[in-house]
Amino acid sequence: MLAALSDAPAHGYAAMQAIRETSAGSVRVSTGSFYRRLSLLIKNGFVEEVPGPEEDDPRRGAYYRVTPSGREILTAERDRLAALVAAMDGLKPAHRRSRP
Amino acid sequence: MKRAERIFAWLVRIQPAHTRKRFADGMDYAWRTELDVARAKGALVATAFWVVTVTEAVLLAVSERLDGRSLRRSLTIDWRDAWRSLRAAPLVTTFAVASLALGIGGVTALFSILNGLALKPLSVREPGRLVLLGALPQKDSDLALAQIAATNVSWTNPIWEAFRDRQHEVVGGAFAWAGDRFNLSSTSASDIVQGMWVSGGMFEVLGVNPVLGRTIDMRDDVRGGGPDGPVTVLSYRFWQRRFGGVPDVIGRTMTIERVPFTIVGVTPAGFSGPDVGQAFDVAIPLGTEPLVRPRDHALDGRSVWWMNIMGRLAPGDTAERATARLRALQPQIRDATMPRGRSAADQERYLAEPFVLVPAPGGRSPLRRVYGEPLTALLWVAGLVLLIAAANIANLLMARAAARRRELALRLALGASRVRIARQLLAESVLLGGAGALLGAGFAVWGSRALVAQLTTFANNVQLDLGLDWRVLAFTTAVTAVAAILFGVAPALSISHLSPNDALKERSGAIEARGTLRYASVVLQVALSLTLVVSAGLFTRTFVALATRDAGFSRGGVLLVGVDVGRNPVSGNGRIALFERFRDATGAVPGVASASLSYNTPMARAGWNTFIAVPPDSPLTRRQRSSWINAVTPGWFETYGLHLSAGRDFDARDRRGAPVVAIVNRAFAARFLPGTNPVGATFTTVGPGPVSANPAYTVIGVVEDAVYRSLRAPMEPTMYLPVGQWDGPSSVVTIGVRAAGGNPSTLARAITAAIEKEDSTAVLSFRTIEEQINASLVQERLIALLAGFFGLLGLILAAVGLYGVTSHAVTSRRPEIGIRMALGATADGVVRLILRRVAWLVGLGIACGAALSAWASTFAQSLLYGLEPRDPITFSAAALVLTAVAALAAWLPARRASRIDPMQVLRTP
Repeated sequence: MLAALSDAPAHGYAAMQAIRETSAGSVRVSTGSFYRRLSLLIKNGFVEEVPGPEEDDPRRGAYYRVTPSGREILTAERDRLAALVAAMDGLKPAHRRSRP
Repeated sequence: MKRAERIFAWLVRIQPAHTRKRFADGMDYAWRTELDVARAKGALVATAFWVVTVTEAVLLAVSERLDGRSLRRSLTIDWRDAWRSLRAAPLVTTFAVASLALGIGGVTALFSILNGLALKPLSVREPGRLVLLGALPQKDSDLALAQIAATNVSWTNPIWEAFRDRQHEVVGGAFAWAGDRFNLSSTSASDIVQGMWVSGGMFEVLGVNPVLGRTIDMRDDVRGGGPDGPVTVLSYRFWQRRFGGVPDVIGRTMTIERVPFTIVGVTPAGFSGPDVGQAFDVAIPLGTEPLVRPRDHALDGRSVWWMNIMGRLAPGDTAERATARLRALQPQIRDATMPRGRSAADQERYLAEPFVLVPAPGGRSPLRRVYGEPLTALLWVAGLVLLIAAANIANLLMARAAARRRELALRLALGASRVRIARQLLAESVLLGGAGALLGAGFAVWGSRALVAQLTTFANNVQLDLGLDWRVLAFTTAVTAVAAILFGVAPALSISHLSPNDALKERSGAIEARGTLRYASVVLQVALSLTLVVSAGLFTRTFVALATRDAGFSRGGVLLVGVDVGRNPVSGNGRIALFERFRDATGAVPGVASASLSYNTPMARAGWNTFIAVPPDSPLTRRQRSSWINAVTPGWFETYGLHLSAGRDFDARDRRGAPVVAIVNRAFAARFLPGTNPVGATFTTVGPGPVSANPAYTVIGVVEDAVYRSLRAPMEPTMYLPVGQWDGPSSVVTIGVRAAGGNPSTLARAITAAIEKEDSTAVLSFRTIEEQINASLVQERLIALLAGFFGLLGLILAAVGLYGVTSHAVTSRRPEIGIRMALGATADGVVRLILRRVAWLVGLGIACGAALSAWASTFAQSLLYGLEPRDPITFSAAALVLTAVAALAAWLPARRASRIDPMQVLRTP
């Protein structure tokens, strides 16, 4: 969710769509679960509400963006995962034992 | 979309205020967009959308209220604990779940039948726009009456044609239909299926698309058949049952009433026709009626009332506005369709009777009227059982909470919050409720099918759509929630006085929970179960009274052979001669003691009546001037066991040209020929009678009274006339066959052969007179059966509840009883001590129950027969039964108490 909101502020439905698109559908997200997690992120200060563009349809609801501390968490998590992937890439292919 | 919006609004409303304020717009927008996407992908995806959305929204509301504490953790722990403690007491759990399942299952089964009968809309396009044509009995009748009138009224084909030609001035589209039973056999054996006559536009107006082939359209609905000849459309169910669902059924020929019809289509699975409860098997166009009934077709009959008319309102129109437009056309329609031979007063009444269009989203259902009231009464009865079950479970759980006081107090002492402990007790209730509801739903599915199967008789094949829809699910959920709250709150309340100190100071085994709640629940159970036993008594006695009523004719040993000669070209005198040959041929079959033929049979659903002329100053009302009619052959009274009390039976002399004669029953003689010797007296009829010239009938005999149509009705005036003098004899008659001995049904084959020899086109059907009587008592039998079942269930539950409370009291008073016995109390004295308190509870319960029953039984008055709603015998018997059962339930633990060894009790610390 942090990644989906990191580029630019977005309203809830747009963020849900972004999660689906970037994960190519592998991350399933429903409206209720999205808002439940969004609520936790706001409470922990990682996401905040911002005014949306003026010409936007007001029915879409509020816009959200990642706060500086949210960005720190995102960077740290991204680094941790990248390190993990790099470590796995560095592993040598398993040696195949041939029959005598 | 309206319903969806309401659900979304509700899902927003259940969120806490801060969440609502922050997210309402966003969630609403996301839901709407996702719903559109889901709908586009089909019904399955849309259903999944709703399940996920509602669940997630509820979870969101709960987690927001817990304010960040882990939802999953706080919930799973409670469930696990609850599950463990339920498993620790398997007997209590099983009993609780079983009684709950029976209660929930009972109400759900009855509700799902009511739902199928009265609430569910037809599975057609936009059923909300359908309206049914009715006639108001009075000009100022209200809508409820109009609805009943529209269901019960039927129309003639000339009225339909007049309406059809003007339909676009009133509604968007209209159609007519008539239910019937069709014989598919091409021999004289019968193969009866549920048929439907339909006008050309029916499927199109309803918006029903075929799954195979095409439906019947305007071109098919012309007299004699359309360009494709006579065509028929099958229902999905019939297609599966009869043809195994093969696709090449289209184009095949099927014989209906000996006429070849071409099958052109199959309707979708959910569609069973506009008549609820009577699913059609085959539908054929109205225009083919002259082919099926070449001699006496009803298309031009201005007095043959046999079809119903339904319309679809134009978008945005209302039934009231459409009715107003229809009223403007009424004079033209009425004038063009005036039945012939009516008196001036009747003509005026015909012209004035106002048309009305009533909303009919659920189709038309005569069953609704017959079974609506008894089913509602039974629903209340089942609700009482559920209430008793809930009270019982509350008792059990309170007893368990009392037994676990020490454990719960220890938890409190160790730092668990009171809310947390109450939540655990509630979790147990929810688990019990959930298990009960699941089992109950299974029981309901089975039970409702079994009940509907009970409604089917030889004359009426009842088919109802009993699928679980959102109404049934919502009902079951609501019922379960109410029950769970009823029995879940009591134990939670009972620990409200618990303090951590209890864990330290109290001895195990000597703790008394607050008694008031438990005693109140026993009184409630006794009161409710008395009401159940009273209702069981009233309904059973009603059924027995009807089943054993002296009907005036003998109830057994007669085989009824229905004969339809509609395909034989003879009519008038020729037809009467044919009937007489049938009777003689049947009488000659070995094993037949007597055979006679009549237009009607006792307690058939049909009736034939006329009005008897009375002096101008007669005090008799119009209704009281009517008499039932039957046309019978000589020997008919003997065959059916009716005794002639004066005069003679009909014989060969009584035929056309001879003086017109009649035999009347005692009720007829008492009402229309009072103070004279009826034999030899004469009377005349008003309006169309059985003999067209309206002659004076000379009474030649008086016969004992017999039930004509309904066992509930008093003995009514009935006149019999000889078949030989019957003008315009009907094509459908019945031969009553009394067997010389043994089961009369075994004669069917020989009788078929005998009649086939006389006329190979005659169509026969067989039933016994017992079957005919039983079919008329279906409703009463069903109510008595169910009320008896629920009464027994209530009795068992009350007994168990009483046993539990007494047992618990005995356990907790062990030290006291021990001391009493050590001080010299006898075993009998101890039993009396225990029973005294129970007697108070039961007495109070019976008093409350009697008051409740006296109030509730008045609502069932119309369902009773032969006894008053406050019948003292039934009330006393019910109180007696309940007292006996209660005495037994309390005596068992009391006896245990009297066997307590005082020394052992005193030694226990």
